[in-house]
Amino acid sequence: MTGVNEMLTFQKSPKSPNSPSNESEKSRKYDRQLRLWGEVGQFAIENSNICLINATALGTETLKSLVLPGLGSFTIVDNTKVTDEDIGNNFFLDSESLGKSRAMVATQLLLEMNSDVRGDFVEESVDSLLQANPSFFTNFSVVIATNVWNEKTVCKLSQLLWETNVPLLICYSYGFIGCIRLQIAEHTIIESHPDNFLEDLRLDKPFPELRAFFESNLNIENQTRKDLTHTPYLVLLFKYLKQWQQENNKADDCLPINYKEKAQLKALIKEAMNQFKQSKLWHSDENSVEKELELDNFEEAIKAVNTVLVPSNFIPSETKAILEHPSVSEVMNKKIKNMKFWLLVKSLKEFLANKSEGCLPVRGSLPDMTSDSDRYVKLQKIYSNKAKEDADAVQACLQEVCGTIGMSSEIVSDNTLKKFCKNAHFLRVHETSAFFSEFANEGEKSHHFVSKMRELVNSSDFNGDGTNDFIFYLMIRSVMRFVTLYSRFPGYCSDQVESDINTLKSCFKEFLSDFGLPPLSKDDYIHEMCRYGGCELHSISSFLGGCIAHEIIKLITSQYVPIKNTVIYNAMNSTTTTFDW
Amino acid sequence: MKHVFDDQNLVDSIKKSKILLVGGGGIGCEVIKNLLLTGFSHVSVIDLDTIDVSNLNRQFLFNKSHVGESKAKVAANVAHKNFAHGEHIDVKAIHNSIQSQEYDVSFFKSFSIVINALDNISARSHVNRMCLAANVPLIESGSEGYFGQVFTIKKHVSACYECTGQRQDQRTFASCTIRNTPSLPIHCIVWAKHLFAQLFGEDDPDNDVSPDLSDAEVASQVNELMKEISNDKKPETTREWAQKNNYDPIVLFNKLFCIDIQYLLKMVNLWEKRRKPTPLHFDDLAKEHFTCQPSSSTSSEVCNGKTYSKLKDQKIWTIRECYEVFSESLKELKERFNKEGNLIWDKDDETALNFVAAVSNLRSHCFGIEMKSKFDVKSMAGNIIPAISSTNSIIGGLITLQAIKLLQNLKHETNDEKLPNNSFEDNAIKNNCKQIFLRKVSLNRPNLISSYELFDPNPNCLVCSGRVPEIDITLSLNEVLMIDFVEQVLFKKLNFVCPDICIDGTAKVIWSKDEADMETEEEREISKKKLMSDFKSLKNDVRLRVNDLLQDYSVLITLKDEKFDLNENEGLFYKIIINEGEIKTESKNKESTNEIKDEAEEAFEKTKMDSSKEDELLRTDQQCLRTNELNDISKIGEIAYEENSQEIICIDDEDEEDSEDIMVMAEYAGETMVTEVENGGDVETDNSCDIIEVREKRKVEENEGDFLLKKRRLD
Repeated sequence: MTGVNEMLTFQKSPKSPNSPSNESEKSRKYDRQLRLWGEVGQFAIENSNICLINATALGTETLKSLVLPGLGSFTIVDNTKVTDEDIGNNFFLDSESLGKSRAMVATQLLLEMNSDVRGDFVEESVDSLLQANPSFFTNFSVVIATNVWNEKTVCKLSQLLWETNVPLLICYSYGFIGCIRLQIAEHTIIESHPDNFLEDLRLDKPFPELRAFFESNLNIENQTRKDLTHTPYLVLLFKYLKQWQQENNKADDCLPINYKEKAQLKALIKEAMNQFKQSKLWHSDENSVEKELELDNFEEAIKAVNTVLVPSNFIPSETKAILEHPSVSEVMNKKIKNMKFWLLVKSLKEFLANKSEGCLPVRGSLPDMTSDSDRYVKLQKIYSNKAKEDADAVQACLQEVCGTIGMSSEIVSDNTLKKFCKNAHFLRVHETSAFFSEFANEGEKSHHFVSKMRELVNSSDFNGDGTNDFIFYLMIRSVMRFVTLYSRFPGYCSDQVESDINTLKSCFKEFLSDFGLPPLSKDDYIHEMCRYGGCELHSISSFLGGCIAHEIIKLITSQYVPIKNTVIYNAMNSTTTTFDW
Repeated sequence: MKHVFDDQNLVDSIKKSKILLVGGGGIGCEVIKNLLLTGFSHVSVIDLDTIDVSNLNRQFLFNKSHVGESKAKVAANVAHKNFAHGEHIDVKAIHNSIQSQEYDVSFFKSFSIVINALDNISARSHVNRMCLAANVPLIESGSEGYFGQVFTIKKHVSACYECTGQRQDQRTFASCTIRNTPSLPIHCIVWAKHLFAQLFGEDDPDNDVSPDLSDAEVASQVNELMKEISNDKKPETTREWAQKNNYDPIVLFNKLFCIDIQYLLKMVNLWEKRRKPTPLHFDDLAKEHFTCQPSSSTSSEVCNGKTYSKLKDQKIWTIRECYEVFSESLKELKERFNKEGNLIWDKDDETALNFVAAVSNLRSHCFGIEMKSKFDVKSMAGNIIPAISSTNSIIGGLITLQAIKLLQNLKHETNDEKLPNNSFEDNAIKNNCKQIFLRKVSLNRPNLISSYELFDPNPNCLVCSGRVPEIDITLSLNEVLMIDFVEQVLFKKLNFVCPDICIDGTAKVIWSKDEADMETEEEREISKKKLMSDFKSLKNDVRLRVNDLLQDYSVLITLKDEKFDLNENEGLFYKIIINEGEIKTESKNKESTNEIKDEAEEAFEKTKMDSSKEDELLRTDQQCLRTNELNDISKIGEIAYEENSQEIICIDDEDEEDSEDIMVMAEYAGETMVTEVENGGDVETDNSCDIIEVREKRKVEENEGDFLLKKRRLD
């Protein structure tokens, strides 16, 4: 998924080919998920390898939701032994495992769920691995760190993976509070599945085939009743758009842009519709009984004035930003991450500049409408042929681009290219800030974070009824400080709760002053954090584990848009809040 | 854990409370695990289902060796093995339907909390009523694909499952749509399943597959058409005819896809506003374009530099291949039928699925409807909903936390409604339990979950308002069979489980589920054919009291005897009017929503013109966000719980009701527009040439959109 990993996955020895019967059982077992992310998504999942740091309940719950759908492989890094507490909250540690290696038992029990998955464990601490063999971590598709509280360890890990562009999820399950932090330097998404989108139908500048189709159908006045009621609304829209342009002395490719103009066009169509309805001409048609003329297609055209008349050269802001991204020129000079994606963007840019007068490739889809099959299918073909033509033109650009830098254009499959063109309006590049930048009050990277924090602290009303979950970010940071200093959770030993409260208070104070934040008196939250004493509640971890698995699936399959940065879960209010800095 | 909860009472009550978990599937497995690891000790799990291979990608308490066994029993066994860490836990397994009469109000009363982890509307409605009758709090949940939801139902405190009106099973279609004028792949699939039943299954006259002359649209032509029929002596059933022809594939093929289609074409009124079908004759099959692959189904793809082969089920068959599969499966099914007798269609029966996939595609071809791969046919024919482990994990976690919150606030445990301290408890529940949705993360909605306060009960709810609702049902007494009235209206629409029907004010039961169950085979045959008018006391304006003793639920129905036009009523043979005068049929609402839409568009445009009203736009944005969420929920097919519309509309101000349409308009600002709705069966397969698929998707969107708008206007 990242540049580095793409190549690594490529080098891995392919799995032994499955026998047909095996294949059919697999497709039955995975039937319900294939219906969600498709075979391409499944293929990506089966070829990914994940590293879990610490087999906590949160960690194993996350892996559970990845092992079940057939993850390629996982590796657990954990040097601790199973305790009573673990058994109490972790489904993947049974009572017989007390005192055994937590990594080993969790790996075994996780693997029991799915024989297609490979699993491994390393009984070492993150710190020593980071020290002795940092490249260990950079070989994974994604790294999940659960309950790694030590500031230094987390910074080191985050820095390493930031530089190698391996996605990292840093997650905490602490009492009734959860925190998920996604760190990814650059993640490119072709299939972002937007909530809302515009149709791409090119009515202002119809390409020749489309224009020819419209023009051959414009003479609706002389049609039979049947043909009239079955004329696709795109034809009507085009016809009355032309009329509107003429009446208002507009250019041939001008669209109504404001409320007034759209109202004019709508009125034109409505008027025409009423005229047709009143005219007796169509009532004497061969087979029809004396029934009122129903012109659903005109109604559709009126509605579509607002939704379909989009300028052909409209480029959504995200796509625009991607076209201007520095990587577009960098890709021509050196190896960068997400090479394929940027080569495609570069080709798209060439296409826009030289081949399409600034219009993105035609998407090729046609919304449903009242129409006879014949004309609908014709329209469909016209759009899909044009989409294919545009994709071919982009392909030609790609060949040229690749040729200039001495690469084969075959590194991008036809299918990916088609998907890219079809989704040109919906491309996304997802970047988060680096986690380690949240630990220093200096340097350019941290500057943004610090000012954002100040803004949040100043604008937050922590005492009002609307609890602001930002406080829990501050609390988690204070606990991290505490654990870094004392190597245990505040309130972990019941006889030290009182003194821990004071210590945590000073950690909190110190943290605030480190970042030049005004002092806050948040004793009730401090008490709460000490009361939890680092305890992990299974249901919270189960919820969070599901959320983390969701994000990992988004990352691995490159479908959908992942969370932006930091998510805080407050189980007392059942809310999640996302912070982006 | 004790110190985290900081509440000894809570810890105790977690330990001793009895929980009923209805459903041991994806969410059920999660909930069992979570409850036991949270300290709950008494859990009863009830599920009728047995374990299937396709469950194993998420139902982690089961493995391959359990396939075919009872979900409830295996789940309980595994739980005992895994969780009995020296502590006493008591997990009871019940392998039965929750709708069975054994599980009466007193059974429900024996639990502190009931949790629904179900997959169908009918059982959900039933448990909802049982919990209301027993006054036990219910946690309702559902998941589909990446989405899901959880909410708590407490009598008189929060909206019940049925507060937004009956959830209609979206998958019933008018028989004339199926038999005469299919327009979607699903229509052809339903027809193919009916054909299967006609040829090999239990005889069911309702599922006839031949052209339907009772279609109101052809009424003017019936006489003419009838003449033709009377020429061939006595009409015979499809099966008799097929048997006479020894299930000859060519003869059957020509009859189904050529002769019957030609016959339909004679009903000219049908094609006035529709695309005409094209008959397909066996001799045509040799033509070249029927034997070549559609361009979209290449057999292999390249991904990350590696090639993987496309599963063969995801290819779309050519017409020729359809015929071959049809012919093969027909032969095999005939043999099985001769050996085993009546067959039951099952999505996991390979041959039966092949038959339906081939037949539905051939019919689709005739009607110019998009053809579907076997994979897609399976999901549509079997009502398959995508399901993954991570969503269930999220939902399971949320359910368990809701259960803890309920217990925390149910300290004065009592089932006696008269005690005054209940209002205190009710308030606490209202303030602490939430209605939670899991959605897609997007630009407008960065958060993983959205939670709202529980909605107030709908004072007009037919189920939880506490009064006996009065409804009018209009139908044609001398055309509607009693059995249809009972099954379609009482069971399917009103979700009764064992109703007795009597004339209001008298004690005489004129129809009773219990009695019907005790009928002999012969008696059943007779009563199946009884029209409503055969029951002497059923007349226009008669008031019926329908009482379900199990659910402790009654409805008063006034029958209106009227000639009924199926077509004007989307194929339903009845119309329900709630006594306030609302009409609950589709068509009426469509008109009003269109009007609203136009107004909203204009309102929005006006707002936009005035650029000084920036804050107003911002507000609109927030409204959009909210309605977006409403939209998403309509996707969650079976759990489809549209939020109480009244509630939504009242929350901010009177403009709120326009927001959905404003959202549609927001695109003009340049970025966004019409809500994308992925239907349940939407599959990401090969996208190279799927304009047709998009088309199908759009259709569903529109339907669902209407459905949602309708719902929102109902109150």
